[in-house]
Amino acid sequence: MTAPLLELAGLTVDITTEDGGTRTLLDGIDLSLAPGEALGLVGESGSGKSMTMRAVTRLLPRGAAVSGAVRYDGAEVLAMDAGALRRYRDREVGLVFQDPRAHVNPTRRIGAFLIEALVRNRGVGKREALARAAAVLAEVGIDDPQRRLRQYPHEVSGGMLQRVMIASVLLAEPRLILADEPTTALDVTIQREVVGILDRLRRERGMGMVFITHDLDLALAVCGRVAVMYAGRIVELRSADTLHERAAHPYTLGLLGSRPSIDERAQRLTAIPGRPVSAFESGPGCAFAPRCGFATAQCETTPPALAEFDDGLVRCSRVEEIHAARTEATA
Amino acid sequence: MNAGNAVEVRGLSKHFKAHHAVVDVDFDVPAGGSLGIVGESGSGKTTVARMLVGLERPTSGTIAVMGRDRSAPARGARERGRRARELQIVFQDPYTSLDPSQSARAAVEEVLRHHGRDLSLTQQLVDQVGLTERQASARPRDLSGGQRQRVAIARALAASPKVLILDEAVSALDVSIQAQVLNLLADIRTETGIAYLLISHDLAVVRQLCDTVLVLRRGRVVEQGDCATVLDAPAQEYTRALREAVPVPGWRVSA
Repeated sequence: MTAPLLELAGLTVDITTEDGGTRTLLDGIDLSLAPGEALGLVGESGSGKSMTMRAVTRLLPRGAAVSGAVRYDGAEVLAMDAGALRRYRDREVGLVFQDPRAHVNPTRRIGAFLIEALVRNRGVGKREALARAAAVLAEVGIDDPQRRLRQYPHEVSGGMLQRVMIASVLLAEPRLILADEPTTALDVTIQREVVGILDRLRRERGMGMVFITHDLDLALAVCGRVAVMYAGRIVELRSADTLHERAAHPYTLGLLGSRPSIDERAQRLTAIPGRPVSAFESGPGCAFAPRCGFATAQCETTPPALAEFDDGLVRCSRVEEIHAARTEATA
Repeated sequence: MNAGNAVEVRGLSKHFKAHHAVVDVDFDVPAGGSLGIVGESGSGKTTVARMLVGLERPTSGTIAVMGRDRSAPARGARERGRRARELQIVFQDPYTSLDPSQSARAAVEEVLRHHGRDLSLTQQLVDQVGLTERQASARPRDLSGGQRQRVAIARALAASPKVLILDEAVSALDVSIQAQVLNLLADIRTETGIAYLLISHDLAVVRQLCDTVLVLRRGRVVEQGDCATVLDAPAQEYTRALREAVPVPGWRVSA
């Protein structure tokens, strides 16, 4: 067993509100990512999937208190001093966000944007940096990279700019990529190209990737394992190959039933009642209990632990009964 | 005009200077039917919706709703009111299309009053879209995205339209909420016989809610027909590519 590249243990984030109260956003996240592995984080609003990524890079809102551990290649990220944190962010981790236009300076050419970190942080000469930038643009499938380097962000499409963002991440040669809804704003045909590029580069370069998305099927297509999050906790973790067949948590089952199919019209979608909640809105027991068709009085009061079930991890006190009932119903 | 059609569009084009956003588009929405218009960015799908509601004027072609032409702007309040009772629209982001100072109930009442309908219908509409008493009295900022979209639907239905345009109306919702709203929209069509014109980039949503589908690319119709025919056996390469790009169970990027 190789040492994990990234390891989260009991990661908890609380935020202090203006009225002095505290609100829990993430509640005891345990995850590990092997070098070269792709892990999906899937969830709805308030599930904490983006907050997890921010905690990994310590890019948290003011007033946030973090506890637990974030270990990168064995180093405690939460204990890093300013210099170590900067090196970690600059060299080890690459971030790809949903909206590339919000993360690029619109007044500077793509070439200047791409070489900035190389020239300023790594002391690479400008000519050499531009050559590397052109090479990496070609790697992300951009034709005529020399012309693109001279263009401004507004002169290229959203899909092209997202490739530029991926190229900028690659230039730092990180070992970990954190991609937060990187294709949500793109058309499906472009989405397919962009996730294909991320996947190919991850394999070629042996990078670890955490892929955050609301789209369960996209996560299954891109990742080896997928963690489903609800109200700041992981509720199910499984291999992507078997999630459709083996999903056991009522929330995962609900997500699968909620999504319409391109192949046939469902008589009715098996919608989950109510709305997704954040960790601080949930009661003392299972956060999903108020929306769960299987919940008992005990579910409302006793929080379930994340436990092994059918080759995965599931956070549900009734998982065995539910599984047995479902197996019987389909037999 | 075929009496069985709620909407008939013929030879519809819209040019913005040299840019041809919509080019020679024909389609029908049968009364009580449901047509999905799918396409990627720049396909012209939203421009078609904007011409139908009168927010853009067609460069050429005709639009008829419930047998009445609306290719030219409405003359006078009476004609505008009549058009509003024929066709309403729900947009993607209800937060920007609802009045922030108005409760759901007040928003619905305003529309009922404007169209001279009985205010006692308010409760029925609030119930129909599944809003609770408390939600119906709340302002938009105190509601979730799904609840706000229910308000927008109730407000549109208050005019008792024959056709409802849903412009990416479920696209911004969480998956579990999107399913609730899709079920609600299917129920409303069954109960009222209203016709839908769904503008969407999501082929699965179109399959769930629509009988027929039209694929647009760069302003032109690529293909149209029954959902089952077009989506299961696309005749055009572009439709096939669109379909194959959708992540479905078993779809792997590295294959």
